[in-house]
Amino acid sequence: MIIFSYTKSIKEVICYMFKRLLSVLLAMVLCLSLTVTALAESSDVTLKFTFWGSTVEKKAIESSIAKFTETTGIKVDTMHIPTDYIPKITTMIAGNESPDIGYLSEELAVDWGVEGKLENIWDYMKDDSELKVEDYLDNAWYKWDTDKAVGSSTAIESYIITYNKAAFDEAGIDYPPTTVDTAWTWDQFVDVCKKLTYDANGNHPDDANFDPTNIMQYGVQVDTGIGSYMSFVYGNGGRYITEDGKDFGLNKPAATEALQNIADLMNVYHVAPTPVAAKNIPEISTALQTKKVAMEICGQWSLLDLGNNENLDFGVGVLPVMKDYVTCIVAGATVIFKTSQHKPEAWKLYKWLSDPESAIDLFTSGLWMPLMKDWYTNPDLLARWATGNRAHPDGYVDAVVDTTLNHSMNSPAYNVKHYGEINNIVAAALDQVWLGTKSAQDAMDEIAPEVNKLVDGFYDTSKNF
Amino acid sequence: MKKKLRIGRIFLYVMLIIGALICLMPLYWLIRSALMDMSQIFQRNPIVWIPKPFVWTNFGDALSELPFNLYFTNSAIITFACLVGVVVSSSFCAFAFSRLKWRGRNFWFVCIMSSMMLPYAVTMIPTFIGWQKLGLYGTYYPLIVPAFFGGGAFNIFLLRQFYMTLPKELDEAAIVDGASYPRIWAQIVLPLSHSALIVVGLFAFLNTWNDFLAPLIYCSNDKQYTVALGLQLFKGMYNARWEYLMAASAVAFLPCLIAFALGQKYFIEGIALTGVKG
Amino acid sequence: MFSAARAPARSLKRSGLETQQAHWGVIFALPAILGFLIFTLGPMLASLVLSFTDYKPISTEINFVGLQNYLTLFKGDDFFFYKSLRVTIYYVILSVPLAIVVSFLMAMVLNKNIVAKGFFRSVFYLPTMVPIVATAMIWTWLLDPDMGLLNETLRMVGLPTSKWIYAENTAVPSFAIINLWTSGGTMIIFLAGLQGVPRTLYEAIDVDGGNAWHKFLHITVPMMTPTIFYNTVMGFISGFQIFTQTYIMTQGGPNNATLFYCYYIYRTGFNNQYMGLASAIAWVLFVIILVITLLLFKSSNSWVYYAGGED
Repeated sequence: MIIFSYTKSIKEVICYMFKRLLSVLLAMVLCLSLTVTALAESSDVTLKFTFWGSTVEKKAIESSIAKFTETTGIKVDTMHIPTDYIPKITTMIAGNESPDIGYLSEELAVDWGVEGKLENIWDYMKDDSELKVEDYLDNAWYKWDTDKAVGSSTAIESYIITYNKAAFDEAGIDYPPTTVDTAWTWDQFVDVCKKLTYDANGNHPDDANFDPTNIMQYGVQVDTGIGSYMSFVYGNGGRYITEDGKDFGLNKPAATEALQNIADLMNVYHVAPTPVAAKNIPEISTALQTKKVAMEICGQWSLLDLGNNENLDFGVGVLPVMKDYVTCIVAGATVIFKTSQHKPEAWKLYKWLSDPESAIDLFTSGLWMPLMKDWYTNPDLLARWATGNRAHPDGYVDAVVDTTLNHSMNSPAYNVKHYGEINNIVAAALDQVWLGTKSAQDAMDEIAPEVNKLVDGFYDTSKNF
Repeated sequence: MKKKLRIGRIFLYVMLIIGALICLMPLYWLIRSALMDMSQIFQRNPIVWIPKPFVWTNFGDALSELPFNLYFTNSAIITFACLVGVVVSSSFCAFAFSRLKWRGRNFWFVCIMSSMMLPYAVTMIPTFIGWQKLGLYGTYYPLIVPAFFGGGAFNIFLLRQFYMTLPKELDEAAIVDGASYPRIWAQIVLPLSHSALIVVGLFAFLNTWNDFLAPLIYCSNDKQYTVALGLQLFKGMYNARWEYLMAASAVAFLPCLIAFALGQKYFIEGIALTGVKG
Repeated sequence: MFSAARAPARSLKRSGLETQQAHWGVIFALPAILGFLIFTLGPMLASLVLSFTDYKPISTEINFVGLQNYLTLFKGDDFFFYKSLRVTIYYVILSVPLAIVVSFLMAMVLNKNIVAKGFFRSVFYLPTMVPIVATAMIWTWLLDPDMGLLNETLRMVGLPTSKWIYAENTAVPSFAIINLWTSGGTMIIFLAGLQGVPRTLYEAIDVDGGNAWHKFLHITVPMMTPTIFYNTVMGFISGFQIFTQTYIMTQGGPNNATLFYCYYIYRTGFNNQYMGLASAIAWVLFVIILVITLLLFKSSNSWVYYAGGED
């Protein structure tokens, strides 16, 4: 009887197992068909290129690369990574599936060069007849030693003022200056901001009845990212780490003064929205258009959105000056991976991507600035991107092109060792400064011991920032 | 007595409506933003409650910016396969951990539970390397096959709890009648736990549909991307197309809504238990 | 087996049953056990081993460093470890009981005979279905202290406003509240559990002359303890691993007030590329969660009632 019930139950089990097996097989067949189609594409030399970016960038890059394939015959498998770029690319590399060429975030770029994972682009340039290191902007390179570079920035970006012309017209103030010589001093800047800030009753910050909880229009909104505050720290003579590379730089007087000035805009003069709101307005062009703010201190990539906003009549101007004029350059890098099996082809693609001609839309639209010097100095080339379109209003050449070429310094990400880890500590401490809960001096002094444990100088010791 | 009931009822409905409003508010925000121009989305003083004008084209534009039809197909394949795998596999395995006594049961249960306790970030690379060595990078196998092997510790745990609420008398009666354990599983336990099975199915559907990290890691080209991954694209590194993101999210969440609406119909109240005498 | 046929019927059945159970137990559990061995054990052991090294994902050299990583953490040499742990524990203590109590009450309400039952159930479950990328951004706007809807509403009603996720002392409670909004899943599980409570039990109370409170205390709660137990354990396990919200909304700020543990692991392992250290950090969490889970299971013997009987 037991044996009988056993066989009966075995039959049932087999039945159930079979049904399950069927569904497993079905799923496997589906997957297999997908695998086959995926594998079928990789037969000739195909470069694998990974990149990030918004839909606009994606389209522009993909069409640029399509042109590359047409021109050179080299196929490129573009892989757009919409999110979590670092984990994805780290995983790919750890698993021996690394791309040939791709973008790399500023925190990792130089470090990976030191670790030997990236090609030294300057080696390629030595042998190249068409392109020379000097053709590029001086500050375009991510170097891990005096003559070793993981690559150039993907494009150049720097910091500028953008503003809503109508707001200035209403207040009867002259538009922001566009040359370094005529730039506002910090005090002049604060004054202008005060005139452009008013509450629900029309009171300005210096008026007796001014209500800071009910502000209708702010004079300015300051991006609290590293490119923004470092522009002013550098401009005031300060550094992220000291010029000898031995100490934390942000707690020294020149730096804390700059940081405090920015914080005071928000918490003392109330001419700028607190960082809370700033984090919350992802859309600069809307903030300007709706006159929530009259001016923005922002990265020049915002011009893409400003240019697209038909309802906004905007202008660009130079940053205010504390001591000297500096605008900070921030960007990710484009690199070639050492494990690439197709390095000559990857280099061809690299050159293609550096040439503004190949993706001119990305420049005319306002998103990117070129890497090559002559696109800043040659009037014909300038005319191709920096003038005559909505994203680049009059004054752009003076305010942005000239300053980026002649008065710019790199963000610390380019050259400071252990920048990523140091910045974890710094960024958290700066939250308190922007929120007004601590003075810049106190906040920076507090973290100085921790930071100093990590400070280890510069990668390229020929530079002191 | 009746008056007390009335007030109680009214209070109940008031609470329900407030709760519903709280849940619906962000959703309303989503749909409202999906139907407006980007400039209106961030307007305060006053907040734009009703889009003026209704930008219906956002939906079309968002869905054509990226190959969403492809993404939907991909998502559907993965989600359906996982759904089958998870429901069958977890209901099967949970039986062993709840109604059968066997050596090593508690040990293996702890092992399986422990898989939930180690954060994904640190097992991601070793797991990836494992699949890559099998040559399965760039396929959907890594996303689907694990679903058939237990279907997830939390599902096994959930079903275990449900199975353990079913009276032991049922099993014993069936055994007296000569039924084997597979039959007990299929003909007694499964039907009585259909609410829990629906919940497991819904969660499996939802988690797979909205998962973007696993597809990101295991896809080797962007034609394999899923809906959830496609949505991420609208965020971009520096500027996001919020109106497209909201529009695409609204469309992406419709299948989940449909799945739920269908599933919740089977939450029948009060399962009458026949055959259980004292 | 043939010899067993000669033994008395009673003990035959019992030992036969036990063998059957032992036999089937393994078969039924096999897919899960195999799954664990194939897909989970390997990576888990790998990360454990890596936690004793200075592994950086891209470097070719891996050096064994023994307990160095763990010492770095416990001695406080890593600036963020203790802060992250504190913040995460604070969050778990706030959010888990809150979510369970509120979900349970909501499930009870939705289990009654109310108008538009299906509609309300869908509505309360809705938030979990919206893709997280949209949810996170919506909440960031809603919680904007200056212009967000929540504070606007509070102002209208005359209540004090809050800085929500933008101030150190209100950030974690804000996340606990957001978690509540997405606890539809917990509610659904409670609902399914409530469906399983036999109506005959409630009828028995009616017969004995009891009221709704008796029903709740003596039938509902005890019968629901298996589900309450599940939601508690899962609440702790997932609460400790909160990640996406902080990743998208606050990136650990302000001033590390929301530097939740999993985000801290992610940042250490990927942004800073210290995967060895990150593995150590993860294993510390593993031990914590394991201990808490085991304690909960142990305690379940005294307060969880299984109609199917304990084994």
